[in-house]
Amino acid sequence: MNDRPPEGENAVDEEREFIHFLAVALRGLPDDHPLPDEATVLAYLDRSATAEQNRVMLEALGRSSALRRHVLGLAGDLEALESPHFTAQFSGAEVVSPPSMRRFLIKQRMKHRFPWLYRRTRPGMFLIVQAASAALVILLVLPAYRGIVELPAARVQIGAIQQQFDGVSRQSNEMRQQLDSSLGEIEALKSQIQASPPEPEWRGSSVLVLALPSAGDGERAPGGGSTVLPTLVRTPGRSMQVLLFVPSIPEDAAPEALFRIEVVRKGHPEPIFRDETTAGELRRVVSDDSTGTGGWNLLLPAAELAPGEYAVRVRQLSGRPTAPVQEFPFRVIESAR
Amino acid sequence: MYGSDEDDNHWDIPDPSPLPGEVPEIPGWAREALIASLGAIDPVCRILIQACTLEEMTPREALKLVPQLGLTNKQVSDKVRSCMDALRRSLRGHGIQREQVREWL
Repeated sequence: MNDRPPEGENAVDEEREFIHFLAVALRGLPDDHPLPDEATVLAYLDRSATAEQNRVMLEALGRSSALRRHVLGLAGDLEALESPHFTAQFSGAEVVSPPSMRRFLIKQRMKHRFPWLYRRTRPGMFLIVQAASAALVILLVLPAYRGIVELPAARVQIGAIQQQFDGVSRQSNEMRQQLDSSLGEIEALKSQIQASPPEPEWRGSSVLVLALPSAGDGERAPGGGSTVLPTLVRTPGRSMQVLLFVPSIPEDAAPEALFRIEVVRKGHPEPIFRDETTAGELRRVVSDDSTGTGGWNLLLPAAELAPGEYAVRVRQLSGRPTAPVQEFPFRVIESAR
Repeated sequence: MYGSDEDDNHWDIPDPSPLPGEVPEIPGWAREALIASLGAIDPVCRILIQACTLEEMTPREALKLVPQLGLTNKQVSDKVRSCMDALRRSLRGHGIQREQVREWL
């Protein structure tokens, strides 16, 4: 750079280089100059700014690239507002001419172009309004929403509980009636059993007494005599059937020794009934004379006892795993009626 | 109104060449010297120079940044030229010569 201005092509090149240098050097400058307030920007663009407002705006425009770009865009809008074309379109006497309308338009465009300026100038009020709006929404909407969502769910839940209660109550009554009926029949059988020894074949309507266990799987106990199986005749309309048998508990079986009681159907691997109890419990029930039966009762659903051959098996699970299985065979037939 | 139609083409300052994708490394002292020189010139000139260089605005666009002055394109061009001359002298006082600028760019 020389003291005398360059001339000719050399001057143009030097100016171009200098402008390029300015652009490069200024590119990385920080753009953190405080922005003018809304009134100053409005007055500057409306050409009604005071000397101080003009000074503030020129200082800011000289330091903030972002503000220069925004003001340039806004100035283009204002130029369009003043154009003959715009005036003709909107009969500018009403839209453009009145200063209040022009200021209104400027303000609306500024809100669109300078949202950061409005957020920056009223952060407290903005936050207060946002918080108040959120609180109002929570207070007004949330209870209603909870009511809408929770009330039907609560009704459904109450309905389900009511149905369960009704079902349990109904089943309980049915079970109680059946048990009363069965106990009455057992009481009636008691006298028959005590009056005469059990027959090899006995037909009962609802209680089958299995008095002759076999010693092993499928074998008849010695002295059992007859090959005729105890037979249970299914009675239409009766939902439960009672089996009465007297298990033989080994004397050396400890009270806590575990026994399994199963009801199996011939040709079916899975038992239709299975229960586990201790030797002490079996002894207590068998020796209990309160019912007068002196045996172990099994109450089975009639639907599970289809016609066929069955057996009640008692197996010791602990203490004497090699103990023989007690088996009480029987059969089920349909009523002739 | 901003610049009139008659002097729309009156702009004898060369257009800036497109900025490179990678900004050349300008020494910190040179950048500080430029900032100091810019702060010393007329505020309107500073706005116009930056608008015409950094934001790559045309003179007519740059005029919109100073609407209250009511300058024409010729007036702006003359103002910018005089300001750039003043800026160049200021930078020369800080030891920044044309050869140095070429080297940096």
